[in-house]
Amino acid sequence: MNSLTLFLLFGAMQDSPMIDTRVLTSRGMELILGGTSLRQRANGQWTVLCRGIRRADTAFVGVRFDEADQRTFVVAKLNTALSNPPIVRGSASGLPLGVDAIRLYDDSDARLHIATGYGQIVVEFGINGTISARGSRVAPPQDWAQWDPWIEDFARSIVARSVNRRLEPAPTSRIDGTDVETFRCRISEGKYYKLRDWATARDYTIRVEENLVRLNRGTREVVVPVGAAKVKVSGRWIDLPDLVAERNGSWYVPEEIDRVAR
Amino acid sequence: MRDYQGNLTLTDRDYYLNNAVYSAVEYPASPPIRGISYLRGSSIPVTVRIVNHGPYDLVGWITFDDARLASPGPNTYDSFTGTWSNPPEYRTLAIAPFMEYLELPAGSQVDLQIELSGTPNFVALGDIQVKYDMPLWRESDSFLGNNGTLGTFDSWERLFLVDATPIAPQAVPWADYLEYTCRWAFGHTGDPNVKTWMTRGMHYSLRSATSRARYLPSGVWFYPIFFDGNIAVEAPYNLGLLTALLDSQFWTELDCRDFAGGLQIALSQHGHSSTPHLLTGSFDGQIHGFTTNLLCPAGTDSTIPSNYSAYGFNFHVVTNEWTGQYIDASTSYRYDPYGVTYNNPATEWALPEYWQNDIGTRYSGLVAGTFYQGNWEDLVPLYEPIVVFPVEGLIFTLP
Repeated sequence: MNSLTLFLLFGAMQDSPMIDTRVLTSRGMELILGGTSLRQRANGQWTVLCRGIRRADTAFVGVRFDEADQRTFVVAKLNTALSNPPIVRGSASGLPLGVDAIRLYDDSDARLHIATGYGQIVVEFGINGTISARGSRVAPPQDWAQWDPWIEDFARSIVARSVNRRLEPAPTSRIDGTDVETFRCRISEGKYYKLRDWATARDYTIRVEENLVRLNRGTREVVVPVGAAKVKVSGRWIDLPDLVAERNGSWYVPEEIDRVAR
Repeated sequence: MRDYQGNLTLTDRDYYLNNAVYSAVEYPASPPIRGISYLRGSSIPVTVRIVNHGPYDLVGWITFDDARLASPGPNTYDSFTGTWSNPPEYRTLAIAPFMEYLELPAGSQVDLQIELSGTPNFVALGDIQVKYDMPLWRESDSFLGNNGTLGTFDSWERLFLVDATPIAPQAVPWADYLEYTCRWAFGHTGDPNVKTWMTRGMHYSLRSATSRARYLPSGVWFYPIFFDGNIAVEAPYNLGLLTALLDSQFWTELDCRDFAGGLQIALSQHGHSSTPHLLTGSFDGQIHGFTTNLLCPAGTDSTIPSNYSAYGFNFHVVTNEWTGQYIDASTSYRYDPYGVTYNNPATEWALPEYWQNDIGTRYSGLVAGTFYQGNWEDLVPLYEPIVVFPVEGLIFTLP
């Protein structure tokens, strides 16, 4: 993909904010540096890079999001086979996240890497700390179980936005006599359905929970996590070709949902 | 107003945003400039403009009594307050001429040409401070006033003294980064001292008590070098974010590529060339991760053996300087490539020893071995390093 193509793909979307600052402010954090929207770097790459801090306890969060780089698995500096700190595969909630995700925890630093298929997201967080009398960093160990839910929530919101910005309206689809609002991915050209329309067409009831939607029809249950490339159909995770998106309370799923869970 | 001559052209993260540079101090500057720069040991010619804004004719003298450079001293801990600071160090500067007669009709100005000399002949920084007396008589009624500093020092500009003429990628250095690079290599000159002490200074955040860098492997990076890129022809380094973070936080988290790129930029400000290299291993003909020997990340006390750990890396980015040796500010190495206790960042090791060196009982250097299935017992010794890239060009980008 050349830089002109990338410009055409992303050039008109550079102002779409990728970072939901409300997630940060709800935890007492403020964005101190960087931006919330994609910027094109000098080498043509689209990136979001920002830092937030909570001054009361020097908690910090850093985000890097790189687009225009197809990735199907996380490439991190630390190797998964033998690592210090140990690498944990997948999200803290156990729900799929991106096409691949890993977490790394030290006593007072943690990192979450997510491959989105069309980019990579790194979220780092922890306690910045103070300086000991010997000149080294002092930071209290963290209870990551307390941090994980909102960091995952934050990361999923970035992943979902990264998908949204690739979607553009497409002609409405008709499924079982019901109009289903439809979108098209600008990069893969894959088709997306508005989840509520599709679920209605397929007679599913819908229940929205934290970071997922639960669809029920008789004894069948379909679990759709936001920002994931999998759905759970009757207890079995099934791959989708792209990630589940969410925007302003509406959810969007690749059209393959109709093949795996109709 | 002061106008400096013969100084190096500078920019910074605010001026760079507008593609601007500055070569002299012309007040008022907007945005404010962060300082001026000369080669170490330079004499500094300055035009000092004295303006009579009032309605009366004035006559008198200006006498330059003293001048000095007030530099941030070594990192110092106050056990009483539990705080760190850099108490100032003073070095005397010579200032000439000693005295000038002034004749200032109402609304007029006079330009004095003075010269500051005796600047340190090593990498340094600090505020130029001058003490002067300026008795002036109002000619209409002989009323005597004094516009001097009344026995105290007046701070003029921030001065950055670099080791040699800056080269690309910082042929026009950023003053906000000079604020750190001159601290890290303070007091040193030439090769290999500047190279060694810039590396150590970045690692230990020398003379930067409240603005320190620490190594967070696999954290957010701002020097985007990817493992799967064979050659990074032009890589944007977010120097604006680095300097802003250093300015605003006790600790700034950096990845190894940030250290390596930052070290390259730091050395280039002082006229020394180097190139970041991404190193990884090959095994059975394929690129392969590796297990390191004992490392201690910057920000952690490297004098304590228990702070050292082995890491599983897919790659490591270090700086390669012009004699082929590797310098790595991100981490302290427990042992040197020959197995001797070292406890400092790498500053003088060339391949292949830097990568891995058979010392009989084990392999020293960066790499202990490769690994299978995460079992330490399966460490496989010695395989060749691959230099995935050197960066051929480096450009700067802003947050």
